[in-house]
Amino acid sequence: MQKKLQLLEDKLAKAQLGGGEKRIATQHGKGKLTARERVHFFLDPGSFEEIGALVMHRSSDFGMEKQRIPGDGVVTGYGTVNGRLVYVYAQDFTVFGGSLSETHAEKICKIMDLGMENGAPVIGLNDSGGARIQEGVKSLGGYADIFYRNVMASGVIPQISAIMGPCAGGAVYSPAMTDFSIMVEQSSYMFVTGPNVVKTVTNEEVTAEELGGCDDPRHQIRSYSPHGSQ
Amino acid sequence: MTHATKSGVTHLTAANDIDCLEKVKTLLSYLPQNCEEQAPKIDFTLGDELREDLAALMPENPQQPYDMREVVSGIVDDDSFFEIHEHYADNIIVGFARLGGRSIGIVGNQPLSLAGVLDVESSRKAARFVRFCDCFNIPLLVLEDVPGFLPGTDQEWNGIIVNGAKLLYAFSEATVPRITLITRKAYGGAYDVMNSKHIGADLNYAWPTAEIAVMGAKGASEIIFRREIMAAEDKQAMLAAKEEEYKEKFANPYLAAERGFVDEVINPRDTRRKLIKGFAMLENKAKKLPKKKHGNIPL
Repeated sequence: MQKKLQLLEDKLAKAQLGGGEKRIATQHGKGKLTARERVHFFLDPGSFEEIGALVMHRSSDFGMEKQRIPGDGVVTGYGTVNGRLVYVYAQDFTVFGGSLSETHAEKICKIMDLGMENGAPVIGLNDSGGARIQEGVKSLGGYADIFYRNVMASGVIPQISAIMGPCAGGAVYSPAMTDFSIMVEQSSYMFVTGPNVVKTVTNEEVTAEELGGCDDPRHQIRSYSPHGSQ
Repeated sequence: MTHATKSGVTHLTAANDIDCLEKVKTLLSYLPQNCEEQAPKIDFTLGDELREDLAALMPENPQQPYDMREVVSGIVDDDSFFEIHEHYADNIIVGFARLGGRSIGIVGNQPLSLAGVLDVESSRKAARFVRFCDCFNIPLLVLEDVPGFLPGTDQEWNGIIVNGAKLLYAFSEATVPRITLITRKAYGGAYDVMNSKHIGADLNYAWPTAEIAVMGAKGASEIIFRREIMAAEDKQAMLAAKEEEYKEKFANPYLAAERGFVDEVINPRDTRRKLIKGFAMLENKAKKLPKKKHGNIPL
């Protein structure tokens, strides 16, 4: 028994560490919290219950079979905010850049289904480099599984998207279909196609921040206000 | 250039991770858990609720702007206004607040920006907010001071017709308790759109400063009194005289009140009490839409 308990503890400890101390330090270096820190700060103290901490991807292409990290780049579960039940997922940029794999998507879908069936809000903390390219169409299928649930849940439970890092390509359509999006200044951006593709297709030169960031409007309102007030 | 000001893709922004998560928590505090439930209500005991300062917010000159946010904070529970899309389409303001402890959604024309006119972006912004509130049983308060829809090729070519229709559709379809307060201008088609009695609002109030008419006095006089003005020796003087005549007759809330389009013309200081009691009265409102698969909002 002792040995079996030890094995469980080792696995959970590995999941806790995500992409490892070096990548956690890089995340902190950018002024960002890790997925777990965000979840713990967001929820009432001690209320978080994780679901799927040991999930790992099933990919064996491009050497991915050698890189398997419990949790697969997203922390999912439930807890309370001011005593009220919420479901939450937080993408973990330290694990494969928070990229979305088939199993990563399954974890998100699982808590969305719980949210729907039990009538409580779903909050997504997005911080992801995009699709897990090594998985190809399986990753795209994963996005669509989430989109479909966003639409089914629309008007049934509140859905809120926090954009706390990159959110590009197909990934933008989930926040677009939720009820509210909130973006963190300087560290987040959203666009369907990034500056490189824009340059190739339209020959426009634009930075990621200009194209899809959210500069501090308090600094920008005088020059950018669409209606030129104040 | 950004999703907070140009595209409206994001509803809120945060200075950092902590600020972001705090704002999500605040937002949640106004919302119910799901579409079957009501938002949390804070205990509240009704006092006299008089707000003597509200009247002073209205400028003597009706062309003078004022900040509709000050009207909001003069009405709602202290520091309870949580604005959505603050920097996008700022000629309309939307957000959540508490009124007598009850969670409400507010839509208000903003005279500070483009005189509070309705345009493509402000109509879309408000329509989406109204639909959210209706999804989740959050009553709506509309603060109206609207000179009309914004004219111009830019607006027409970008579909102000279908976009303005989104807001008209969203209000018409909403079955939550809906109260309108006309603070000043309510002109033309925009009067109909801004939660008028005709499209299903439950209670419509107006301040004595309200001007509810087809169009502004000058434009209307030029059309109605065209012959008299053309025939006059001093055309400007005649126009000015006719404008005064029109204002006297139409630029007030009483013609609408006579017909019941406005339920009551109220002293601004009584606004908060009237609204708290109104929403309490409407608490058990149960309205059903005709059976259908779904409507076809002009997207």
